[in-house]
Amino acid sequence: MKRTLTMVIVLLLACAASFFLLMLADRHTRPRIKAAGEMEKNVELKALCPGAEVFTRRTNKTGSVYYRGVGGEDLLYGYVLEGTAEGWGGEIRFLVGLDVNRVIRGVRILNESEIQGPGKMAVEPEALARFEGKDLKSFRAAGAFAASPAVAEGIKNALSDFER
Amino acid sequence: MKEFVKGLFRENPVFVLMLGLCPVLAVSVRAVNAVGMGAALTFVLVCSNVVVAIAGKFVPPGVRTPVFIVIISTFAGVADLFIKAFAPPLDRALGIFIPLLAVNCIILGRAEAFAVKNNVWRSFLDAAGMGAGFTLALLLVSCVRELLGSAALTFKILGYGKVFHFPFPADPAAVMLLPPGAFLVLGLLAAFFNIFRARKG
Repeated sequence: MKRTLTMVIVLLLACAASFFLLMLADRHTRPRIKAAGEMEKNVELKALCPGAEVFTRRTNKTGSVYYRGVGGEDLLYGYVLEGTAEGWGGEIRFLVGLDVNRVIRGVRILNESEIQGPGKMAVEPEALARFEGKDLKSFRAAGAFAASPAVAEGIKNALSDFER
Repeated sequence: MKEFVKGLFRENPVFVLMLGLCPVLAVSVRAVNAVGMGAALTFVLVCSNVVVAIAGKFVPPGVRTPVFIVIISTFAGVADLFIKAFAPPLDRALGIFIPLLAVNCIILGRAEAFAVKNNVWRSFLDAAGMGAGFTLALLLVSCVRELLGSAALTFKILGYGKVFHFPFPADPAAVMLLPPGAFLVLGLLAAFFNIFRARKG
């Protein structure tokens, strides 16, 4: 009994020390990680909606986030939708750029942890380029995209939410 | 000093002990990845070896492995957060292999086989030597693969450094950047390394 109790206490102490160390590291790095993420997102927003200078963040009724890209003289250049997909290595976060006719201009991955192989190939720029020029109708007609089914499903959901 | 040097050559973790091969095969497509991965592994290895050398004797044998994994995964988590914050391009290049340091067999192996039985200074030297040996091996594999596969060597990180381009008479061998190229280069380098080691006695 005493031996078991000792083992439990040691393991608990190790976990507690680990928790505090990770909490300190997280507190120290979080602002920088957030700032780096925002900066990266801004670059991607401008790449997906060329011409737009200001991006206004909006949330639709389903809770999905999208950005309106507006340029000089309040001219609408397009939209950028935020979406997620369930990859093999966890959640994939991506942005979908749409022109004013709601046709896909491009797809950029914000965050993924896919391992080498089919999972990684599905998030490579070559695989993502297949979605360019498609709209919600073509997604519904195609059913599934063999190259990256999880990302395709995520994009389809993001487009459906946006249409709603 | 003997403890440090053994990790570089006589007990090189990659070419002799054949440990930690997953990250070696996966991230060795660019030289800069090797430096980043090597630095991350060395940091986790040194910190965990030192903590295990200090606290290891107070840990009952029944929970030794779980406690060591908690220690290693804590430092792997810290390394992951700092790389994400200060070197996002490196974080994207190394991907899942930084969090996976938590279960890296070199780190757990050194904690179980060395640090728990030795004092802090010797454990530190052992970890530093093993980390340097891993980094050198990874750098060697990366340089060969990048040179043959891309006709370049990338030593650029956080805007510092340089990318060296080499004019090849033919197109670079793209297979060197694929998994078969990694196995081929690693196998050949390990063979040369061990022949050299055997001749030196």
